[in-house]
Amino acid sequence: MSVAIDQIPRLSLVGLLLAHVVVVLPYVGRVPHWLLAIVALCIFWRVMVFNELWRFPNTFWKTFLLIIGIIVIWLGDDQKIGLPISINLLILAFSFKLLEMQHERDAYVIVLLGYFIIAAQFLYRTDLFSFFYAFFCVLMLTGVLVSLSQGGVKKPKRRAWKVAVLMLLQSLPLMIVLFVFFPRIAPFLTLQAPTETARSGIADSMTPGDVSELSLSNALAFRAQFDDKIPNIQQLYWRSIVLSQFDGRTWSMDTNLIGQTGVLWQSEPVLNQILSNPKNTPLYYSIILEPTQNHYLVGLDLSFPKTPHIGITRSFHLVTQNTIDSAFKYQLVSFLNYRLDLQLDAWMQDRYLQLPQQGNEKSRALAQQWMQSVNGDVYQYIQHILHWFKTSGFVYTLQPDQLSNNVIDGFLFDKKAGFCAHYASALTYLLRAAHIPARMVVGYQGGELNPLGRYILVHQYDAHAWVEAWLGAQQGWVRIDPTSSVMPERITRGAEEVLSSQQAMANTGLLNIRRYWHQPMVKSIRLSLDYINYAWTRHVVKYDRVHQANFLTQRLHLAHLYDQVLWMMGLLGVITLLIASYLFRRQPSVKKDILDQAYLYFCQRMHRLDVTRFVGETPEQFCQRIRLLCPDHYMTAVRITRWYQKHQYQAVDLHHRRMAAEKIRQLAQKIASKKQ
Amino acid sequence: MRNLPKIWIETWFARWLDRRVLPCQKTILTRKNTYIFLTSHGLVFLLLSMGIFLGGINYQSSLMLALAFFMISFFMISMLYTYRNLVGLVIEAAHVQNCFVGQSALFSLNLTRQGSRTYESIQLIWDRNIQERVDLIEVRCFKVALLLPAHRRGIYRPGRLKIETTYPVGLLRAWTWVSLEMSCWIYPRPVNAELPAIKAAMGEGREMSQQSGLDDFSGLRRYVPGDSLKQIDWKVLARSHELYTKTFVQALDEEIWVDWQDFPCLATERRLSALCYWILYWIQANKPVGLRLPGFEQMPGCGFVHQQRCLEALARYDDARAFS
Repeated sequence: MSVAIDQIPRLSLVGLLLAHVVVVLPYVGRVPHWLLAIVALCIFWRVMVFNELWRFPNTFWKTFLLIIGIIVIWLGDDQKIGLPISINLLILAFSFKLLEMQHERDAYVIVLLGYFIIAAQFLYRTDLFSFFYAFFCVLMLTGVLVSLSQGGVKKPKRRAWKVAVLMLLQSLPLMIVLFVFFPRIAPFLTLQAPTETARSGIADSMTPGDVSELSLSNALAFRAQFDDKIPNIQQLYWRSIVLSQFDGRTWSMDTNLIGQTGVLWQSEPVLNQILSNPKNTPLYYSIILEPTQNHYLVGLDLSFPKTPHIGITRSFHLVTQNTIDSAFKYQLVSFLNYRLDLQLDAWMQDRYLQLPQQGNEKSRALAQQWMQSVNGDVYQYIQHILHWFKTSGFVYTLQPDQLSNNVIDGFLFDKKAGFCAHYASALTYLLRAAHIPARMVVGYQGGELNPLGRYILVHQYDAHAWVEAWLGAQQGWVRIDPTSSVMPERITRGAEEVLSSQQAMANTGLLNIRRYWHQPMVKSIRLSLDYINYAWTRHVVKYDRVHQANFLTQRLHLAHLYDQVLWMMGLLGVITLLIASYLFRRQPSVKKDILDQAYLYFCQRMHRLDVTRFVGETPEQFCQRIRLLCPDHYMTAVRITRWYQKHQYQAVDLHHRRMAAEKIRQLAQKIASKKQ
Repeated sequence: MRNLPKIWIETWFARWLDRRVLPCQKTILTRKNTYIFLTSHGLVFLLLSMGIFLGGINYQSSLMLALAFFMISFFMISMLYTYRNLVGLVIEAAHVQNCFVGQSALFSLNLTRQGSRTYESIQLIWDRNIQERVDLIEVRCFKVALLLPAHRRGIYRPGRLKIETTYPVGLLRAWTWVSLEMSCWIYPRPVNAELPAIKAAMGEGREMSQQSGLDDFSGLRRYVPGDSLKQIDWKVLARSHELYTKTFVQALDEEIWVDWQDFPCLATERRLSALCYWILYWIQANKPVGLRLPGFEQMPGCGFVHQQRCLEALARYDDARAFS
């Protein structure tokens, strides 16, 4: 008998196998493919055992599979796969347990391991969809738990799911209270979250000549929410990194300028000094940056961080100490009408004039020739170049030809076609060749306003590159965007709209999603979904210690930890009580028959005359007793008893029963009135 | 010696329970007599949620924390559910069936649910090996028959019944002890033993004895006031003017007695087994049989009730007190 109890009900087994698949599914593509093959083999094997076609693997097979599994994990663990080995091992154990699952206890082990695997999924996926998916996984596992404890007896299949759904829904309010109120503790172990496989965003170097096609990703780069007015989209130059070192092909960062010593980590004094000048209008906003796996943040030109642990480099872009592995939220103050570096040290000027000794001779010669022709007037010189870009048949394209050795020469005199990086790099080169300090800024330009949440969405296709030139002590650094002179729409209408129309001409495939990206319907759905996800990220995923403190103190006015804990306990208690009172509510008692009720009413009346019916006394006996004790009412009692017996023990329809009950009541009422 | 503290604790606990759980005919499970605690799976579940909580803190992952909070909330809710799956249940003693040593005594209980609340996967545990799983979903009342092996002759009180449930998630166990006022008699195991020679002959020879009855006419005797008018011999009255009464006899088997003294060489239990065997033997043969035990005598008779009485007397026999 004990053996029978120990076995796993078949229904639970089916549920468990399904739950297993559902739980492992999000890891596809993140764990070594061969590991997935082993997982699939384990599931298949268990299904075959379930169908009584195969047997459980013997010790040899188990050992063999285990060794293979470990080898697979070992070999698969290169830098590309970001998830830690422990998660791989967990999945392996989770699947191997299937092959050993014979008793109820094993099933419990699998379910509990499943919860852990669901939790690990949150390390790299935090969007709303994956949350709902995880909820679904939990539901599956809970359903299995319920069906396990239902035992092997045949049960209606839906019952387990119904109970599981009810329990999950009832736990939700408690969870929300805990989530909102439970004091967030600072991490006491420094664990590095596993890093995402694919890098996205801006690379820290740029080789315009090598890129033959700029892939424009629809992926989100970041969202920005402005506290007050949103600036004009054309003004939004999001600075990410500054490239100032050129080796003839590749632009890269000047390591001397971004090293630890060159970064300003405490920018409050500078910020306060700037804010003290009433002419500077600050722009407050916050940014949620999608994971980039590097240290660079984005900010409008000349930003100061309001969030700690963000530094400003000497070339005025923002960096963090840790890489951005998960969505990162930070607050900034920006000044759009800025003056940068009115004083620039000679050594730094030298750095921004750096050019390779050899190569690109034609461009160098051209720069010197033009500089002479404008008699060294920097402004005229720049105007001249931009005018040249506009009028000499330069084309803006996303599919430029590759350039060989002399990249700048090749672009300026030969191909005359490229995208922002080509123009920016050429202009920087021409400026430096004319002895004007210049650098290339890479970041994003523009963005898409989501009217629902009044925030700006910036996608990867908004990536942009422009030039900054140092025009002496009067101007400091001045932004020059050569792309705007070649293709002004890029700035006025936004990157995607312009480029997609260009691309749509090139490839007219119906399946090209970019064709529909800006259709009004698609756009509104896309923006609504993004709004939901944005709200989710902002309010739930990023609900950390700071956020919690803000929410509890400012919105709920619970300043002290003591109050917060008290409120939490109180709310938990109230919710639990409510649910308990629902669960333990008084069950509706069986309704008494109307005739019985009427007869009991008669008995009650007689009781007032001190004639009480005994327990178990039949109506007939009672009637006879009334004859002895209270002869006055004997006739009434006889009539009532007849009515009662006739209608109670004969097949009479409801209508007549009602009539009889009414009659008995009327007669019984007379009894009391006679006494009065 | 090592087990001494354990035994001591167990004894103390049993006594405490005896004081707490009083025997009764009917128990309604309430807050006062229902207990709840986590199972080993529940403990692992809690540890796991703690682990996920720590992970959430250290990886600064809100969603991981949310999952940990969810697991804890779920645990709290399942506490209510598990508790609800026991509280309110009505347990009544239904009936018992006596049996012989070596057989199983049948104790049946009625589990009744009140209102529309359903109960599922309730385990009744009387002993480690005797478990029964009960569902009260469609039915209002469920009669559970528990067969408990009877090892010793005499009165059998099954002791405390443990009723527990881990439904619906197996993380928590709610249980209660019920002591129902139920007992049954365990009869001695019927074992054949040779009857003493004289008795055997008596049984075989079927010596007849006479007893007044109504079957065959045997003669007349003087009227005694109270004799039935029907039996008066009116012909004799007409002849002699004296009242005579007709008498009849009935043919009867010799009364059979199964006697304690019949098996003097056997030990008490063996003796009772032998008595039991012969009682059953004669009753099955449909012969009136009587039972004599020290301090007890059951007049010869037939039928089920008579058999019950005899067997009960055998079950009840106590050397020391011998029906004094």
